Amino acid sequence: MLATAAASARGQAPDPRVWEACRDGLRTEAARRARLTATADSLAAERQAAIAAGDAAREARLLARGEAIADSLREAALASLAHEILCAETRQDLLADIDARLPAATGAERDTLLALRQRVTAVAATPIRAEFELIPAGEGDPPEILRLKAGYARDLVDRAGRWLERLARERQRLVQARLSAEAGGLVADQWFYDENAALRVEGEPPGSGGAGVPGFLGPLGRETAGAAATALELVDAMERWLRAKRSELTAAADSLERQAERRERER
Amino acid sequence: MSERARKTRAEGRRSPRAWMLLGGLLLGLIGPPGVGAEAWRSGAGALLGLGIDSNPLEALTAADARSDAFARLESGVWTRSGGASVASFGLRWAADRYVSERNETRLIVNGRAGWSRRLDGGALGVSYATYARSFPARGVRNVQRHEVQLSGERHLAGGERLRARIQGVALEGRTGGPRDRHAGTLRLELVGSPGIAWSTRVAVEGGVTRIERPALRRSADGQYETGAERQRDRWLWVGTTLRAVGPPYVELGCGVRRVRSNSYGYSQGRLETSLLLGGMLAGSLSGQALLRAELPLYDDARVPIDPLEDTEDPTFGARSGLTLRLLRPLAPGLSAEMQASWNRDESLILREFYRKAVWVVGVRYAAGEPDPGGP
Repeated sequence: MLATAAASARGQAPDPRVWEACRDGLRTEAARRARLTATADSLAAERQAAIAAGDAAREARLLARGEAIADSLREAALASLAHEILCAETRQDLLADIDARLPAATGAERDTLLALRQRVTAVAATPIRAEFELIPAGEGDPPEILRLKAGYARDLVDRAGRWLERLARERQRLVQARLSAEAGGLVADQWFYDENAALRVEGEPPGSGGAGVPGFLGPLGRETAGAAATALELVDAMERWLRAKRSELTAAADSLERQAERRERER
Repeated sequence: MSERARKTRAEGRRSPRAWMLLGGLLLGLIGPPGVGAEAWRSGAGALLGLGIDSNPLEALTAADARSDAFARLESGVWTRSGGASVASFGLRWAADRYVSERNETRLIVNGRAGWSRRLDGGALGVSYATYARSFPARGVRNVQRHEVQLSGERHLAGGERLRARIQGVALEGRTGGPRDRHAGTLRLELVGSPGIAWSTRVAVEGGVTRIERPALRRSADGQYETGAERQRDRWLWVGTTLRAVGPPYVELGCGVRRVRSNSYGYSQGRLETSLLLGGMLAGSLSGQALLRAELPLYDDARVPIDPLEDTEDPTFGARSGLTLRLLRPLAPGLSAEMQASWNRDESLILREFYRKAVWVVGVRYAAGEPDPGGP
């Protein structure tokens, strides 16, 4: 969405607010992750204390809260990745836009563009886990430097691969959650709408425990299909982006190595 | 006040239904909702659908079968808490408007309230549910169901979970509906996980159902006559379920049920099997198929046709059927779904079968954490 906004603004002067909104979102999510992590650590310490004190009720309560926090942390990490991918696109669009305008810009406009470029680059230089920024080959780079840059590009390819593996695990978890919830929903529908089933008093037939839990113990471990479906769409989009980025990085690494070989031969 | 209620009151004892309501009230008193809860979650949903019911009159023979189109509106609100204590409330209702053969509206309401709590190495839960189904225009075949349940779970050293459930059900027929009946059930099950994403369940369940009609007995001259006592069926079920959440999702179940009645009217065994499949299809489309097959095991010496049975009483024996459902998310919270089912249900008049097919297509909106609930 942010990238689209940046692209649509390409005909006009680059809008720093697009980037600032993206940067603020990144900072907010990082702060949220930090808070959640701190809470999880604190709960774990409290739980250990409760175990040591033999307070089973308090330990069970803390465990339940800890599990909820862990769920939130996993969701926050995924949301951060999604946001970082969107921000990376926005940043690339903005930098391309600035670089295209700089040669013709003069006076105040040039100063504004340079200041914006500095801000975008400065934030991009901060550690972002989903950063896939290539270091381009310089005109006078010796083969050794080109090989270093190619190695860095290979590292980025590996990073994209690790994210794809993580997303594959997340996809499987979401699909399992969605299918389990939908299976439970189908069985629930049978009881709700089917007059014959609702009249039955002889207990449940086999296979009717779609959620695998009896009666009202269910809410303790039930997940929903709607949330899983929405998250799956997000995972789909991130996987597509990462695959494209991995291909691009692989091609760039190959190109850098070819350039290094060529310059070695030219020596 | 019904004759049965008057008789019950005259005898100075509470009816089972009164005990059910008292149980629900007690549940509200001893388990204040949300005690110890760290967070509250809520959800709401609605379904708008159209469908065709191939046998709306539940005719006994194929010659009487007719088709009727219906419009369906469903809604529900659910609220529950998270944390060590979970309070769960549910309300789900639906209205089906039939436009040709029946030309009437069917109303369904399902209300639930429950409370469960994690314990050291287990969990404990108590719940009450009620279910009402009515055809207000015809004023017949209406039924009210009450259900009280106490369930517990214990985690064993090997990772298995041992579960127990005690359940009481009261089914109250109204104005031409089925005969009243009350049932008590005890269920024990052992759940294990032989591998990641796999689970097995072995269960045994037994109970007694008391039906408000006289038990039949055979007289000396071979005729059937009504006895003084009510019909009482004792039953035992043993079954197992294997589940793999995959994907694809596979749940295979089978069990054997044996019913012994004090009446000649209804007694038989059943072999019950079910197969539930679910998987992701093209794109974000998902599908499920539920195949259920129950094979009656007749005992010719004990199963005559019940001469007192009312053919309007929609009580069934063996139930078989296939249900297919397709779901596709359209937007966050919004999904399209299609469901088609075919059923072959044995009526209480044994060896006679109702057959019907239902097809529904609809759009569902769900916000928050809707929990359609189960049986």
